[in-house]
Amino acid sequence: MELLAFGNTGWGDELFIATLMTIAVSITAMIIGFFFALIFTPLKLSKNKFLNFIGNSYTTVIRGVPELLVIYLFFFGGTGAVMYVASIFGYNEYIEINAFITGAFAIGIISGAYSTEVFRGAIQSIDKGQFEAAKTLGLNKFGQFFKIILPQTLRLAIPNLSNVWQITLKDTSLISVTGLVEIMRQSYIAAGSTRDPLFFYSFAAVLYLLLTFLSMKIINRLEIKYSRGY
Amino acid sequence: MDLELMINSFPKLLNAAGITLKLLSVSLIVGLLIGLFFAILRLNKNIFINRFAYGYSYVFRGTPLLVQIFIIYFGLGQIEYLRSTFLWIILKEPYWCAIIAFRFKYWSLHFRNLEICISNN
Repeated sequence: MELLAFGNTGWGDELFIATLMTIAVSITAMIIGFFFALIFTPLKLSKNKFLNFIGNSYTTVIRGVPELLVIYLFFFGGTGAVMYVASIFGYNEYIEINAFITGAFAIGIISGAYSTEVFRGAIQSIDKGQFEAAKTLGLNKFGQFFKIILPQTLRLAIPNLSNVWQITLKDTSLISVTGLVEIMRQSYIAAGSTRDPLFFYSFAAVLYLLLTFLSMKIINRLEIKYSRGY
Repeated sequence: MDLELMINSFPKLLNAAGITLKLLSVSLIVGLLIGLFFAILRLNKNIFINRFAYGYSYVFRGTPLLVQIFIIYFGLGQIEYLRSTFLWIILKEPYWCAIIAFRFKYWSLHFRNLEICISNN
C-alpha cells in the first residue's frame, strides 16, 4: 500500500494525475469523434454514389485496421509529414508534435468511425413519418434535423454510444506508446522503477474498471433522461 | 514513398501476417471454448457461479487489452518466471472469450426465453 502513497514516497499522486489525463484524452477524442461522425454520417446516408463511397470507405478502413496502427501512423507518420512540409520552407530541425493532440486525434478518428455507424443506424431506424412531419411543420433543414430528428436519434443512439465510449476509453491505453503519461504509461514507469509490474498493472486495470463503471452509471442516467415519454 | 524498401520488406511482412493468422485462429478456438464454458456458467441458477461468470466478462471487457497483456506478460513473470511464447496465446483468449461469452449469453437468453415460451404453451 505504501507504493501508492501520495507525495515523493509513492506513486499515488502520479497515478491520480495520469487518470485525469486518461479522462481528458478520452473526452477530447470522443468530441473529435463526434465531429467526424457529424461529417461522415450525412455522407453515408446520402444518395449520391460518390459521397456514399467516401463515407463507407472511412468507416470500413478505420474499423478494419488495428487501432495501434492508426496511432503509430499519426504519431510517427504525422511527425514525418510536418517535418517534410517544414523542410520545404527551409526549416530542417526536428519537430515533435504534441503527443496529446496526435493521440486524441488518432483515437478520435477511430471513435468517429464507430459513432458514424451508430448514428447512421439510429437515424435509419427513425420512422419515415417523422421526417415528413418535420417538413410539414415548415421548419428549415437545420430546424428539422436539430429540433425533431436529433432528439429522437439520441434516445436510440445512447446505448450504442456508451459502447463507443468504452472502446474509446480503453483505446487511450494505446497512446502510451507515444509517451503521453496516462494510466498505462504511468504504471509502466512505476513498474519499471519499483520492479513490481504485477501490482502496478493490476492497479491500472482496477483504475480502468473504475472509470468504465462510473461512466456506465452516468450514461444510464442519460439514457433514462432521453427515454422520457417512452 | 520508397518503393524499393516496400518491395524488400514485403516478404517479412507476409511472414508476420502468417503469425497473426495463427494467433487469431488459436485464440478464436480457445476463446470459443472458454466462452461456451462461461456462457453455461452464466445460465446457472446458483447466484455465486452466475456472479462469477458475470464478473469475469465484466473485468475482461472493462479493461484495455494492453493492460491485460502487460499483466500477463510482465506481471506473471514476476511470480513464477513462466515467460514463454505459450503465454502469448493464453493472454489473447480471455478477451475473445469474454466477447464470445457475452454473445453466447444473448443466444442462451434467447434459448431460455424460447424454452419458457414453449413450456407455457
